[in-house]
Amino acid sequence: MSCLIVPIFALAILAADQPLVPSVRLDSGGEAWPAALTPDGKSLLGVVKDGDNGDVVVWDTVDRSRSVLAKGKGAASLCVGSVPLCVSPGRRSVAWLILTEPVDEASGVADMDVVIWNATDRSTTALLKLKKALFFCMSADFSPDSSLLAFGDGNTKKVHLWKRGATAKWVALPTLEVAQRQDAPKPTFLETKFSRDGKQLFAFFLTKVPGESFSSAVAVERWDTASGRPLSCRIQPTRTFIWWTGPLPHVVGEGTLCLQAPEGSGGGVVGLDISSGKKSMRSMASPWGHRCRRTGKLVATRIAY
Amino acid sequence: MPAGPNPVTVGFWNFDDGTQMRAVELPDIGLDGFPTATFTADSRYFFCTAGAGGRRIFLIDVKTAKIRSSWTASASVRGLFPLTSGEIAAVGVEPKAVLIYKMPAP
Repeated sequence: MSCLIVPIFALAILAADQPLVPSVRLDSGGEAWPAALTPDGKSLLGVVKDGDNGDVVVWDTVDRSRSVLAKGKGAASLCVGSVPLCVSPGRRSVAWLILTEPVDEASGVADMDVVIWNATDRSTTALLKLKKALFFCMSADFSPDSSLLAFGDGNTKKVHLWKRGATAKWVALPTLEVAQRQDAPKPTFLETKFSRDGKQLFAFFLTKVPGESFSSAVAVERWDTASGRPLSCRIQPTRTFIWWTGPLPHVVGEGTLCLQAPEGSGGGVVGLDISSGKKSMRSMASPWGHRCRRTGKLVATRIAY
Repeated sequence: MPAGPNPVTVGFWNFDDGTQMRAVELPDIGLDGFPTATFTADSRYFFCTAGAGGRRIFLIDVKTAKIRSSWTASASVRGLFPLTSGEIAAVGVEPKAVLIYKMPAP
């Protein structure tokens, strides 16, 4: 009897799903990683892997045409940090890091460009050219109102800033320098994040905790975005799970820094109050993925049992 | 909806006061596919993919933490995007194609 119940039950669950029929079918020409569909649904940005190379592509979903915005050199061109493309909250601008030469296998470095695409005029602009840099040390973030772009370069420990001007052109602001800490490896991961109101910019980078020989903690610095002035930050280097592929660390609410807790500590998401440095909360164990609403104060976590 | 063989919980937290608001267990989820998720612009609803190689999509009411609707796409979904029309677009991938599905506004 139980043998019958299980398949019937499984069928009942599947029957509850409504089938989805695609409204648009686009030729990708290879393995595609869609990154952003503009809010009007007319343009789709993504990366298409062509052998070992990765191209940044935009599809026009109305006439179904495909345009290659940038041709990368090597598989590493798929990354801005570890995210294929950095998309502004309004999905009207997309930034990416693209290798302009193959990675040197001995040193792991290459020349690369930071590029931005604007949906308004469908223009592509190279904002920054980097020479002989390690691509995996980079990260990018747009401010919540999409008017600012920060790009963290872990090779030089600098944060580059641009502001979107009235004519939709991106204008460079003074570069921010991350303090050269003795306990931080060089180069290092450098993650940049804006606060919810966009008035503060945070930089997260790897460092050591006393008594440990390897970098297993995250150190934090912050600046006033308008003036570029450094602001005090009482968060001490905090152990975290070094898995730089998710949307953590993240600044949510009115100044809470979320970090993924390290393995062996029960897991979960740790919330730290940025002003006091004190732990404000901890989520359930073994999170698996997160989506933070910077404006909505919510975090969803998928937990595998 | 009862859980299947590989249940996964989606939890919602309020980081302002550190409270866990609610959680919902998704059925028959599996850890296959490429997980993707998005909140609607008003944060009232949460869309996420789960199971069946990333082809199943769930719409969760954040306030009640209940599954409101679910769909099955013909391809693995790698992006969920709210549109100005109020609809939610899902972008699926095949080896040589990209497919766009649209779900009605919740």
